[in-house]
Amino acid sequence: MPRLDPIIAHNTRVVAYYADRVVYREDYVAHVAAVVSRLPDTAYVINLCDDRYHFQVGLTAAMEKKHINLLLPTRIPEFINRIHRQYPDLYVLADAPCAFAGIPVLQIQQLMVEGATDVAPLLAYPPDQVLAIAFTSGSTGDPKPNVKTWECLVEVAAMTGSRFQLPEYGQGGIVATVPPQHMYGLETSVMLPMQFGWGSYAGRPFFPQDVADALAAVPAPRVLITTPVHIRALTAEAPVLPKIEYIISATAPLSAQLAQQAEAAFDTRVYEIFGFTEVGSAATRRTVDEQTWHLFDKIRLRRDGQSHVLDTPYIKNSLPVSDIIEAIDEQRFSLLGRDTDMVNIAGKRASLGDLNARLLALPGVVDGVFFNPDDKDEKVRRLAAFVVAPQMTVDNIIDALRDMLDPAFMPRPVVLLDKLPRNATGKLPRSALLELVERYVVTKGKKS
Amino acid sequence: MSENVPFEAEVAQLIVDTLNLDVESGDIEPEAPLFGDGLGLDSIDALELAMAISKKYGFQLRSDDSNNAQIFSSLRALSTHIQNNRPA
Repeated sequence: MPRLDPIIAHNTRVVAYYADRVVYREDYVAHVAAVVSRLPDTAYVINLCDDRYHFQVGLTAAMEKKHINLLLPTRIPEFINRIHRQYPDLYVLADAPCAFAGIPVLQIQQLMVEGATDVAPLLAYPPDQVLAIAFTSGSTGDPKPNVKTWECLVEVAAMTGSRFQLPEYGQGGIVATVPPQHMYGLETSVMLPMQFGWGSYAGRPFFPQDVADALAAVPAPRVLITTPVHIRALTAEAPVLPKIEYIISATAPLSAQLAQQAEAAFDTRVYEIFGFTEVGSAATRRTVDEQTWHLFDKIRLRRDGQSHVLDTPYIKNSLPVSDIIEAIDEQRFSLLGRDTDMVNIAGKRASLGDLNARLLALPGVVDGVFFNPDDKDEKVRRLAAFVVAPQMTVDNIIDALRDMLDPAFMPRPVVLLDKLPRNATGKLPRSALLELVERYVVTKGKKS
Repeated sequence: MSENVPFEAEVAQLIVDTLNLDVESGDIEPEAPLFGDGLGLDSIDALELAMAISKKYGFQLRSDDSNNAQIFSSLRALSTHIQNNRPA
């Protein structure tokens, strides 16, 4: 009998919490059976369900049917069309109206309707079954696929739960402000609770007051999964929150100062997770205590030429770390700087090289460059774009970019110039770009 | 014309100042969408605005009584939402 790893802990009682009701394990099993009996036979699925419980049911049903989830960094139609051309045998699973040219869309609420079904979900899968392909934005412009096996997700959840000592807290509730479709959200707000028998809040609270309402809807012990942007908003507005054991933050660096404020304001502990799409969650630290990151038990760090790689027993290849780090030993490191090609706007990532290539490819654009300002605190900074396009207006450029870029990466502002300050070798030194920013972006913002 | 024009102008200025936008507050069309094709705002901006609104008008935005898309659908909608929810 081959090894099968369960998707949901055997002692799970509640799978999901809503503001006014709970979803028990039996309900979840019945919903999965109903969905499985109604899904088509395809190879791939894009699960766009916003409701975290709908996402969980869709994910489980896909595993039952051996459909591979395609996890996309953005929902803009241009990107989905590109994925569709490479993976034609797919359907979209959604819980809100949406349409994509040529792709069947199934509404999960219609599939979840119970009825006579002879499907008995297995709820356990072989380690090598592929759960997902997570796409990252490559500098060449083509999305880069990263295969995620069931073993990979199970191992990361096990190490995360043990790092945060979840079993010692009993069974509680997890609230997340991050979407389940991103690796961090999938690992911490879907896999982690399911593997440890905790329930997840089904909604995705947005404003600080929504987070307070969501936390009040789940039982103690509580864990909040979020990002520096939300921690900043929560700390600024300081709504009354019920007791939270941990706040977990990822997607962008959190300052020790803000972590300290959040710990004091909400009488809790704030931890950060370090990871990237290729490896998933990999290391943690308690931000107020130290700069040092501690890798999960089964992950090892080693030097490879000029850079560092991570080795795990659940991913075949060694994974290069694109951020600039200093190894302390094979389990600990300091983060010195982020990957200079990688733009991170409120947790959404894109390659600067790819963004520049797209800008240059616009008809009418003669030269152009995106500028990524340094992050100084948790206030989100936007990209600026300097463009040479004699026949175009700023609005023309913005309209053209809007069709191909995730809103987070839309430049603000777009500055039209006669030429860019390229040096003799045709490069744009950062110092020259900083001068442009000083002249056209910073002073403009301070005009009044 | 709406009777709310002075208050809309105040909220327009708050939007421009908070988000450091490259437009004049008077150029924001009261009925034009703030997100997407209009002013091009996104959810990160909504969170920034929520913080600024809480600081200036003394109440916290919530999604469940009316959804985000509705609150931020236009300058006029946002101004009305603030007026209806700010403490007297």
